[in-house]
Amino acid sequence: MQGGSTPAYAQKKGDPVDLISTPQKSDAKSLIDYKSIKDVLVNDNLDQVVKERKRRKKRASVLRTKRLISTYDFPSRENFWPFFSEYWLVKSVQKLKWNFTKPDYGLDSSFKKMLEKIGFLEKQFKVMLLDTNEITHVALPGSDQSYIILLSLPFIRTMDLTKLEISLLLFEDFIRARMGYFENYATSKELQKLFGQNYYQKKLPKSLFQDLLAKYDKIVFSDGFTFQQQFEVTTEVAKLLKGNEKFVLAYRRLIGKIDNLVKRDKSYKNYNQLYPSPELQLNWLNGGGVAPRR
Amino acid sequence: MEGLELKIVNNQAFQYLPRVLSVMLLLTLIIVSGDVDARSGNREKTVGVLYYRLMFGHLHSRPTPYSESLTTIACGQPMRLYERKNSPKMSNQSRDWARVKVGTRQGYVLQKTLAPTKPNCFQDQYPAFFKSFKLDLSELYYWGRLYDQYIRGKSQVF
Repeated sequence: MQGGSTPAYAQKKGDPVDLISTPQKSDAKSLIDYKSIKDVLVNDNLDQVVKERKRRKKRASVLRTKRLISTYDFPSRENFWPFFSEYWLVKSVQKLKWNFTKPDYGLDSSFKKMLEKIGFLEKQFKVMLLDTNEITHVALPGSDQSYIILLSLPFIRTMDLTKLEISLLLFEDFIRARMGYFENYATSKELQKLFGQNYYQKKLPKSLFQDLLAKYDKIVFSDGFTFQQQFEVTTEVAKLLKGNEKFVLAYRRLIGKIDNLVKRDKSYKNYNQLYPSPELQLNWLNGGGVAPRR
Repeated sequence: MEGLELKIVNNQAFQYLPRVLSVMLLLTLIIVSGDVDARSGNREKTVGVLYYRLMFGHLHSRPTPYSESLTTIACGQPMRLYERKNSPKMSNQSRDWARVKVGTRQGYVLQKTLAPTKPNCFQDQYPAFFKSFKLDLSELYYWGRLYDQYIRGKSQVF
């Protein structure tokens, strides 16, 4: 430090005052040995600690982002259809009237036994009885291992079906679901592209699910299945039942009962449009009739 | 004597003993603790914690799918399972139901809808997708009712 009462840096009044009275450079150099401090820091591995902390922070942030991105996964086809079919059921509860106290027909065990006898093992099924004849019977898109089948209680009651006949009706729908007609009809190109993909920072098309709900309604209530599809299903069921005379006869009896019902009961006049047609099915089963053109 | 004390202190296994004991005590308390049954006034014994494994469901007031719903439950919901003694008076259907406590409510859920570990729920697998459906209360209620109303089965390998 220089001698005298006034420091060198406070020469004029009004000048900014440096509160840290720094010694002159030459003095500082002599007082602080920067090299030794650097050596100490290097020996302390502090720079390594800082680097490691930065690395850890970066890793945590990458993980967080990855986790955030994964929340935007779109379900796979297998996971999507069972979910959406149930969503449609929930949305259509007033129309479908499935929320009521049901009698126990023992359908779970009879249909299970039928599947096992025909050789379809490890297949889960959910049957929903409806208190309406707006829908008679239909299998909704599900996964390869799990099936949702709707069945009208008034429909099976009117025809006085046996447990075996009901199981065969469920089996026909089960085969129709396996053939994927409903699913193919409902799947749009847009939806197909989304299965199993990630849509982080992208927006799902607003109308995607509304359109899909409308397609479900259309196929279930008005469009139904084509002659070609019906022919394929009937011949496939007949092929699978072959060898079990009891099943074959019961299936013919079932189709005959449906044919009679739709011919005499006006409330089922829509049936032929959805499942064309029991009369033709009987022909196909008896080996007659011609397969519809594709 | 001093040497012996030092040996014990240095032993790593003994350092964790109080913590292990307290965790075991807590677990025992959870398992053994019971609640008072509102109807009979008897203390009910809890036998474990289980998780609901379907998308949605209902906690029922009685062991039938058509009884009143006490609350809607979602997949992954933990619940305390009460010990339930089967009596000859019980119907076969009633035996399929477990008596549980969800939050503050006690009721019944189907036994086969419970899992011993937290299940891999659809809602957790695809949270953003699931959220985009913006389900309202009545939809949640009906989704739960679906599982009460299904006739379910599975064909099996003999």
